[in-house]
Amino acid sequence: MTFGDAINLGLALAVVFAAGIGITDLLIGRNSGYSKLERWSLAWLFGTGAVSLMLWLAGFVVSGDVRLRIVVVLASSTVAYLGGKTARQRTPQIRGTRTIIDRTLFAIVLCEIVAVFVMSSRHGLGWDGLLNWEIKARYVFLNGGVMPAAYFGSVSRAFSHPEYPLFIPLTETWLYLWLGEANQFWAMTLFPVFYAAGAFLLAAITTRVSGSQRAGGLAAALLFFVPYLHTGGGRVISGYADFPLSICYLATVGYLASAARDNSAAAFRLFVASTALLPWMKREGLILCVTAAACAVILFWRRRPMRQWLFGFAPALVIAAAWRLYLYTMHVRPPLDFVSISFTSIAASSNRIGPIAAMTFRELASVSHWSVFWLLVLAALLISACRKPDRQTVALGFAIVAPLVLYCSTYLFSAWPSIAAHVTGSMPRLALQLVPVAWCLVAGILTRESQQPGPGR
Amino acid sequence: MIRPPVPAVLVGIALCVFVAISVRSMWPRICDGQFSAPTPYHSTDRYLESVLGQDASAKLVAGLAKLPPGKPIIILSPAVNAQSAFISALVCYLGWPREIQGISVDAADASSEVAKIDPHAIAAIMFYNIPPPVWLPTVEAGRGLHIAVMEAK
Repeated sequence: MTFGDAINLGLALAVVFAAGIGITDLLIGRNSGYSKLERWSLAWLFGTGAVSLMLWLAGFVVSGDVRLRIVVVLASSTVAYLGGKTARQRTPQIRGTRTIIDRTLFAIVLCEIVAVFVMSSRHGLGWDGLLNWEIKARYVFLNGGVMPAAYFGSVSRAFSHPEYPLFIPLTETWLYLWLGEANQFWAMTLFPVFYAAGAFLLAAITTRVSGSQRAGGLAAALLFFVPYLHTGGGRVISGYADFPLSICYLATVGYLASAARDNSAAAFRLFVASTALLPWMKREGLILCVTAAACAVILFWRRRPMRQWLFGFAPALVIAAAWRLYLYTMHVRPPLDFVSISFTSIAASSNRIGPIAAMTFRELASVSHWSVFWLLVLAALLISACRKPDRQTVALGFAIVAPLVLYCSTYLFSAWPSIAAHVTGSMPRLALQLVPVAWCLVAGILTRESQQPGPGR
Repeated sequence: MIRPPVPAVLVGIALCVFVAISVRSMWPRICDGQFSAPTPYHSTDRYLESVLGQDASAKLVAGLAKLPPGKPIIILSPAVNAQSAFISALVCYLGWPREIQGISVDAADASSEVAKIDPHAIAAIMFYNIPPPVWLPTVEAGRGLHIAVMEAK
C-alpha cells in the first residue's frame, strides 16, 4: 500500500463518517442523551447507507468516478454542515459514573475489536462475500461507478443474485473509486468497522432499553463469543451482509423500544432511519421491517395514534419499492431459489413443516455454531414469561421469534432439489441477523433478575 | 404470586458456561489463516492458488484477455462438486464482461457434451477436474485445468 492509497482510503472513510455524523446529528437534534460512541456507531451505519444510496441515485444522472465522487462529497459535506449546526445547539452531555466493572467490560470490548481487525487481515472474503456482494462492487467500479445493465442480463452470472440490493456493494465501490482499483483486501476492511459499530451500538441500545449500563457492557462483551461470528459464512469479516443487517435490525428494534419507553422524538427518528436501511441491505430486510411494524403495534397499541407510528415505515417502503422498480426496468429474472406462493404450492409443501422445524432446532442447538447462546435466549424468554413481562420485553421477544418463524416458513416454498441443503446452507446466517437483538434481550433480563432483591434479602 | 429472582451466581455460571464452550470451539478458527499482502486479488488468489499457483487471478485475467473477444467461454466441471462449481464461478467473476457458462457433467459424458458445442460460437472450453476428450487439442493451464482454445473465425 502506497502513501497515496492510505490518503485516498482515509478520505473515502472520512466522507462516509462526515455524511453519517451529519445525518445522526440531524436525527438526534438537540437531545443530549447520546454518547459520542453511540453517535459514531450510528454515523458508520447511516454514513455507509447514505453514501451507497447517493452513489446509486447519482448514477442515474452522472457517470465517471470523478463526477460521482464530487456529487457524493458535496452532498455529504452539506449534510455534515447542517448536522454540525444542529449539534452546536445541543447542551453538553453530563457523563454518567462508570464503575470498575463497566470500565473492564469496555476494555474487553476494545480488545475484541482489535482481535476482529487482526483476524480480518488473516482471512479472505467468503464465497458469498465475493460472488454475491463484492462481484457487484467490482463490476460497478469497472463500469465507471454505475451498475452495468449487461450484468442484470448476464445468464452466466445469475448465480450472483443480481436482485440483491446494493448497500454493501456500493459501499465497497466507494472505496474503489478513491483507490482507483477494485481491491478485495480493502473492501474487507469495512467489515471489522461494522463489528466495532455493532458492539458499541449494542452496548448503547441495551443500556437504553434495560436501564443498566452493566447490561449494555455485558451484551457488547459477550457478542464476540458467539462462535458463528467467526465461522465460514457467518464470519463478520467475510464480506457477507448478514452482520451489518443484524446491527441495523438492532438499531430499528432498539430505538423503537426506546421511543416507546421514553416518548423520545429523537429515538423515533433514529428508528425511522434504521428501518429505511433494512430493505437496502438484503432481501430479508423486508421481513425484518414487517416484524418491526408488528413490534410497533405491540408497543403503541392504545397508547399513541398508530397511524403516526406506522408512518415511520414509509421511507423503508419507498426504498424497497424503488429497488423493485429498478429491478423491473432492468428485466431482472426472479430468483430461482423459491417457487411462487399459491394454494397449490402451500398444499404441496405442508409435509415440509416437520423436517424444517427439526432442522432449525438442530441448527440452533449446534454447539459449534452457537455454544449455548440460543439456550440462554430461551431461558431469558421463559424467565420473563413467568414474570408477567412488560410490553417492551414482549416486543423484543417477538422481534426474535417472529423473523425466525417467517424465515422457516420461506423454506416451504424452496425450489432447491434438497431442502436440507437449503436450510443448512442459509439458516445459520439468517439466525445470525437476530443475534444482537437477542443479546440485548438476554443481557437486560438476566441483569435485571440478578440485581432484584430476593425475598428475605 | 411473587416469584423469587434468579440468583446472580446462577446467571454468572450460565454466562461462564457459554463463554467456556464458545472459546473451545472458536479458538482453532481464530488462530487459523495467515497474513498476506493487501493485493487487489487478495481473496481470489487464496482460492485459486491451488489451481494456478502464485498471482493466480492476474494470470487468469491476462489469459482470458488473450482469447478471441466477444465470444463466450464454457467451463466443464464435475457434477455434485461444490469446489468445482465455485472455481467455475470465480472464472466467471474474473472474466467480466465475457459470458462464461459453467456446465456440470459426469466425467464420462465430457466427450459427448463437447461434441454438442458449436466451436465457432465460443472462444474456449475449459475443463476443470474433468479429463478433456483425447481428440480435442488442449493446453494444461493449471492443476486439473485444461483449456481448448477455439480458432477465431
